[in-house]
Amino acid sequence: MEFSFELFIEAMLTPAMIRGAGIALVLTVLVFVLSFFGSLPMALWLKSKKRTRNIPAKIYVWVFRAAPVILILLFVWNGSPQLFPALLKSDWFTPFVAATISLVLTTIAYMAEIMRSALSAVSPGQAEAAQALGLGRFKAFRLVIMPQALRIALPPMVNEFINVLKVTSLAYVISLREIMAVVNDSIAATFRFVEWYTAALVYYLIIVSLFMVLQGIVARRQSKADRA
Amino acid sequence: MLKDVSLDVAPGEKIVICGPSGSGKSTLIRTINRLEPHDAGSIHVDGTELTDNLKTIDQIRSRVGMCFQHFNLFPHLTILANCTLSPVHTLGQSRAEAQEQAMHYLEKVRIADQAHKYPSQLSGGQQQRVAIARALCMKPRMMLFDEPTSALDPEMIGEVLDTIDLLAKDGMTMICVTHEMGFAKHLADRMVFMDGGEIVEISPPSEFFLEGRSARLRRFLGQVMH
Repeated sequence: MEFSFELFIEAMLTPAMIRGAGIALVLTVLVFVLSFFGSLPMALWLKSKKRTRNIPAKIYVWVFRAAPVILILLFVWNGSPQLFPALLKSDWFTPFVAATISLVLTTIAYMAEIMRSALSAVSPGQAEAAQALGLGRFKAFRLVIMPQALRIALPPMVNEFINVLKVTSLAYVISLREIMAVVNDSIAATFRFVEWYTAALVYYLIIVSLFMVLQGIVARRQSKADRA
Repeated sequence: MLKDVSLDVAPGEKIVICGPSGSGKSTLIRTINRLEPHDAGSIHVDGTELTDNLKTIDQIRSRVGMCFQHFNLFPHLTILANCTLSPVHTLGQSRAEAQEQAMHYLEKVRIADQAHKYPSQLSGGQQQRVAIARALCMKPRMMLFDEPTSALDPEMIGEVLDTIDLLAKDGMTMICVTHEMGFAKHLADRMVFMDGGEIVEISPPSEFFLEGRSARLRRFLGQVMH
């Protein structure tokens, strides 16, 4: 048997596969955005000198960086209904929601570290100058500190985005119908491993490439400010 | 650590603070806009007492301009945007209004032609002049200068001192920490000498630079005047 190009195209165009890619993409973007906003307070707590903030934040990062994503997925999907039986009857607690919660919990831990080091890399003089101009703490953070920290954080953040995309594939263990779940089922029915694996690979490549183009655009806009 | 510090500055007065490093000069002027908190005593700025109240602090900060040793321009914004950021976001000026005002002050510090460049494209002296213009855009009642020429190459010190002098001639109230004694003598209405966190001497320059003052001041002047 050899590689069947037709079967590969067929696999690419299967509605379940297209939907699976859509689910992977939406889940990744959603997890990335939610985690970003969750990582900001976490990063500030990590930076904080107050032990009541610093220690809980450190423990959070320690736990969620150590725990395998697959374990968190199973914990949330199988474990939370045991603790909160109401979830079993609720119609909103779907594999997609459980995957979102699990991946956000994990991603916040990684992103908080990225944002902490990016925020620390902005010179303290910047905050002082913003404060001296009467910009309150919140405006100083949003208008002066964050834009500079984001520029520093951009390359590791793109890495993190790709990581999130890849770990969405683990959500097949809680029967989320993303790319790998569709591929596994189709292979069980057809035993055409290579065509389906290649189709999955191509979808991941497409999504990652889309975001590399986006990164390129953002980086070009930023570098205008750096031309000396 | 500051102790026994008492200083009244009249409107329009120019104060120059000098003293050895670690004497508390920077700390003193940084308490005036609460970049350093004071834990005893009281500070009044333009009739308002400085407290922990965040609103009061921001109010006072928008009335007190400050220039730093390392300029601290915002590197991600153009020169013009550096100057309009706070007027737009704290004084509620429209963008057009803020830009017009910013160009006025950039012209005053003779750097209007660089308005659309980024800070990294400017020399140190130019950056410090932009920092002065940025502070002026807030229409401050007084200006604080924290060693404004200490980080500059020698050939750029003059242009920054000239700019400060220009402000002084406009009647701006100012407190300046500097090691430029020639400039201090010319600018100051009163000189303040600090050592070990205390104000040791306050006197007009005509007396300040004469012999016969305290031993600590004489020793300091001996080191900085060549």
